[in-house]
Amino acid sequence: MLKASPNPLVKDSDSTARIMLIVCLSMIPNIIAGFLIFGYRALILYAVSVLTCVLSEHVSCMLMKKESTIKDFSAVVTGLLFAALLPVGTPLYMVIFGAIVAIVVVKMVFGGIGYNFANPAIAARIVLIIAFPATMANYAVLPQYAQGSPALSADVSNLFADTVTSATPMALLNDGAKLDLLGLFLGTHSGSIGEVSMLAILIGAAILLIFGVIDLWIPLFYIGSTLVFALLLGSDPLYNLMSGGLMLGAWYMANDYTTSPLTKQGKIVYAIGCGLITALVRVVGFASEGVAFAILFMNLLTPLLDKVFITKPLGGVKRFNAR
Amino acid sequence: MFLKKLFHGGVHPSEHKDTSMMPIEDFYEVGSVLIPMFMHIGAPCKPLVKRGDVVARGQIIGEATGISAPIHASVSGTVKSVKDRLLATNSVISCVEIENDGEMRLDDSLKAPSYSDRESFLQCIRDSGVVGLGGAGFPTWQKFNESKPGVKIKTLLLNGMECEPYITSDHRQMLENADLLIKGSARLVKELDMDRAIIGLEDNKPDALKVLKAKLEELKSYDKVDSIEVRAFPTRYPQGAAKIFAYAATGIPVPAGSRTTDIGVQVINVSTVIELERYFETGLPLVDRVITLTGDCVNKPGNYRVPIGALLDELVESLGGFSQEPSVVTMGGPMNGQVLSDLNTPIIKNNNAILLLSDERVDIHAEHACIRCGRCIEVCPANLMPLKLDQAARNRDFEMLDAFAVNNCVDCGSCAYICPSKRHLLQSIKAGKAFYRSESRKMTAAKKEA
Repeated sequence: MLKASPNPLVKDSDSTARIMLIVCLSMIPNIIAGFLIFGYRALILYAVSVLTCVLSEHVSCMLMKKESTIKDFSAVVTGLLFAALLPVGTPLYMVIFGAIVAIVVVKMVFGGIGYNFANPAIAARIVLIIAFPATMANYAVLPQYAQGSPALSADVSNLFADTVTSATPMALLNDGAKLDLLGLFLGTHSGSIGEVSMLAILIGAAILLIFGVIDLWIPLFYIGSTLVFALLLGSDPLYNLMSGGLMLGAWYMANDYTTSPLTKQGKIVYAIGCGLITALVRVVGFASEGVAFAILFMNLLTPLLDKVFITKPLGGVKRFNAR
Repeated sequence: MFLKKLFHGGVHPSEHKDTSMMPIEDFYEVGSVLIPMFMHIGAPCKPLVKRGDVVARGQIIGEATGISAPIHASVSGTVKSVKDRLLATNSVISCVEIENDGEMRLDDSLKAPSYSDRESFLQCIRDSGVVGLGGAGFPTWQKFNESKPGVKIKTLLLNGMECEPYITSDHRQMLENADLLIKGSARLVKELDMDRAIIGLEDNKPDALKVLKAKLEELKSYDKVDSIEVRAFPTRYPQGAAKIFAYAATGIPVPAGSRTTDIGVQVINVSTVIELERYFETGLPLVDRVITLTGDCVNKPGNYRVPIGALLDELVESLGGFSQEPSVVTMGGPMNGQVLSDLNTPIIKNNNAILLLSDERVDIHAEHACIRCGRCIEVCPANLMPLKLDQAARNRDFEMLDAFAVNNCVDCGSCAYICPSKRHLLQSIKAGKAFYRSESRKMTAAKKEA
């Protein structure tokens, strides 16, 4: 018995699941950084978030009588990215609530993978910020969880001392304080568990680039334009680069396939839009959440950008004209 | 040598060209042949023989009317039947079955053709029965017969790209019949009053490049051979697609809705020219052809010259047999070939390869949702947006198919090759294109009536 199949009969070995798995692997340095800086509670947040995402995707598929899509690992990616956006002290019920919002409301209701209207992790974080503003702005590390974190144990230098109590660098920036660049690069300061370590994010980004999962257009134009706009608005570009959610946002959130434009031109416009909004929120607005709001807003503009920026077919377009 | 790619996108599947070092072997010991009366684009041929007739090799058995090409007996022997059959290409076609008497007795009337002008030259090409041997099967005489008024065909592009994996029949033809290729090209340039010819091949065939260059030097005293150039192109699928080859060779894109002839370029497969030149030199019409028989299910992969109409299962059994049961069999390459439904089917004119592949060599997947990664856009040689066309095709959205230029698609399947969600993009876009064309015909007709 011979088999039949649509052409082509040979295909590239890459698959959606492999792409998602590479994204997960690229998050490992960041997860380790989160553990070293914030203690094991960071790991609990990641685990709870991932489990909730996978479970809610599976249940959604069952309820919709569709084949479960959890095998493509995209729910794991959403879980990891959502947890990365949370302060270490976020209560677990909020993590669960946010993860369900990310998967069910943002992704599955709109048709599952490939159809979410916004980045699920970003949208869920914004929901949490609006629902629980006080908790979400509290970056303090709960002392009982700080044990076991080498970075936070009392023996380690004072470099890390401020982690437990201090305001985030973004908050400090608005107060005009001077920050420690090495600390910012390594991530030994307060902030969301996956946003603080620039080093870990860059390692992850390098993995994504090497495996061809992402290209450079969105991250470079997003980061570049944020710095330019920040400079124009009179804010120190270096601190804008190294603090807050810009790095994670630019490398992991803004270039989500589903919610960013398809063509190079579209991507550049989208990324510059993200940069502009980020800088405006940070400098003119209320300092935090610039990245999240910028990406959410540009996510919503993506269908429009995809209408405007389309490719130029080889040989031009000959529109049908029945006249 | 590092060559810069000359068109946008494209892909590079594993080549598997294991048979490229295997010389062409003649194989004529077939019990009988089954010759379909329709192996080309255009109108089917009318059978000229009936049961019991004795035919000679090269004798005309199918008469061509209109856009078509005559069909000749590939072996000498007795006609066993003339009837409609369901072939493995899933079409019902009238076929002439000839029992091979093993003598390969040539038809007495065969002689090298003579011609005096363009008309009689084209008539000779028509009589040869030659059609596009690279896979398209378009009657060769008709190719040169039609051109847009006011556009002179200046450039002949000889397509030796063979960008599909596995296939090496054109490669071997270029190596072993370089003189026929060059003389044939010179003849076409001369008789059809063209300026130049470019033999284009991919840089994964350096031996053929070398042989052709040497042969060009050797034959340079021949008329018009000085107008032939041999050029290597970077290996990239689908460089063998006519419009893409024309663009890569000239830098001029073929305008939407046009053919390569509209930019003064005629693309023709190298094996087609070789078989045509063989006809001009000997008078033997197209009765056999070179195929690559390969895949991981045959004991003796290779390049074979076989009579047209030879049955596939008989060929494989006689040529070493099966090493394992194939799971997919294609006529042509794995990117764009025709998947066969069974092995009891004849070799036809435009059949450059038969692949017999096990499950290990084919990637058959269920479709998943599009994740909008945009890789299909990156690889599309026509710079289209396959994911949008896929969506439009599935929704039967005429406006969207129109806006995203479905007509510019060259059906290469690069998008479906690269898609990580394994979407059947080629299939759906082809269906979308068929829908688009039938709708536009309907609308045009309705407008005319109004």
